[in-house]
Amino acid sequence: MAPVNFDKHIKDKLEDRKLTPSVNAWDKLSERLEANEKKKHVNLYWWCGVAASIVGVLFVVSQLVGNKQEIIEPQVVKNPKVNDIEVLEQKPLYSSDQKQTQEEVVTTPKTEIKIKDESPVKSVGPILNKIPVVVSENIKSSKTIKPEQQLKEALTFEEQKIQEVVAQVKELKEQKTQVTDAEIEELLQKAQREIVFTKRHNESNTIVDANKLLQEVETDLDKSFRTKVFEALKASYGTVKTAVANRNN
Amino acid sequence: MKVIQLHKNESALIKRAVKNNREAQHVLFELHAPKMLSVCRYYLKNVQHAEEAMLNGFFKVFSNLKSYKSEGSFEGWVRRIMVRESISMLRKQKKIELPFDEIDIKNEHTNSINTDIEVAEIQQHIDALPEGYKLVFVMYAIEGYKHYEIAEILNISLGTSKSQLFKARKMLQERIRKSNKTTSYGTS
Repeated sequence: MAPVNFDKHIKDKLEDRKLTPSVNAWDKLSERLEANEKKKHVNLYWWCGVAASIVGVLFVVSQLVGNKQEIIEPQVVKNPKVNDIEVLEQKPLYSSDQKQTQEEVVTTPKTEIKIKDESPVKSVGPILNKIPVVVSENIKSSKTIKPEQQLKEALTFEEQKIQEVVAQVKELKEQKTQVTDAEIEELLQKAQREIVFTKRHNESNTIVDANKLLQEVETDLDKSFRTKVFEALKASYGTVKTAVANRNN
Repeated sequence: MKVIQLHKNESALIKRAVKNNREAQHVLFELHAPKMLSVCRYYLKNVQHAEEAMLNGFFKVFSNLKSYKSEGSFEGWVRRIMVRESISMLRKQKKIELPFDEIDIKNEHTNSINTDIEVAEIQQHIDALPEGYKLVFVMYAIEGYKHYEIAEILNISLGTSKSQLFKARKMLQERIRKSNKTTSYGTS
């Protein structure tokens, strides 16, 4: 035998060899390949889902940001001139009794309390009758009233009601020796209803003014109507007391 | 003509196999599986382990078929994958032991052997070698890898690759010579 290169000889011998795989070799491989392809499809769908959800989130966020920007933009609105407020002519708001009382109050001439020049006071009642009642004639006429004036009118009306109640209490005192709390309470509630009714009527016929609203809030914060009545009574009693004391002196 | 036709057929099969055509993949498997099993058998003594490595190799072949760019032969590309899968299996079994020793191989002589030795006997002698010797010998002598390629794949030095090859050759020659003497004594 001719000597042959060792490595080449072994290589030549082994290179020609072929070994037959087992019968189910391809089946095993095929199953692995199919499982791998399914995995790839699932991953692909998963990534598609992730991408779609990201796109959806971005879309929603962009919409929200867009809406917020719309809201943030300052709205330039020309407010209508509220300077001149038309107040319609007041219709009769009160019952016949109250109306009569109001007329009586309205017709009472404007007088000032002059303590020294006044005639001797026999009782508290008559003096109290002379307490000036400010009547706002403008309320009755249909004129264009400025908001400041209207506020003054509203306050004046309330004060007017206070004075009415005081006057009614005095009248009751003149008629009777004692005035019960229930009667005073009734008078107070009536006056409150009238004030509320008047306010609502004015609100329905007027253009709302921001300044007016603020004033109303401030008014609400002030002392209640009842307290005002009591204080008016107290003040008037104090005035009368002073007048009597000075007279005696 | 037959070679050209076979090449054309194989190219068409590969194109279809890239699209996950199972029939095309089956044909390619049937064409190359016997050879590739033999290649895996160089490295792994157990035939079942060799078949497992072969199937792993084909799984990677069909999963990454798009990366085959037709620059070399398809069989050569598949073969390289089989070698790496076989080495990977040896690593899993923790059988690769490559001592870091380098010997002077300047005086190495190439010895000749009796050509009547059977393939099965050669395989038997190769199987008897230590894993490190066998790996380097098979990769160099049979697969045709260069020492620097072997060093890179096995993560060893160039000197270690050369020394391992020297020792493998020496041991194989001794074994074959002894086997031939035994055979000649038997026949005589």
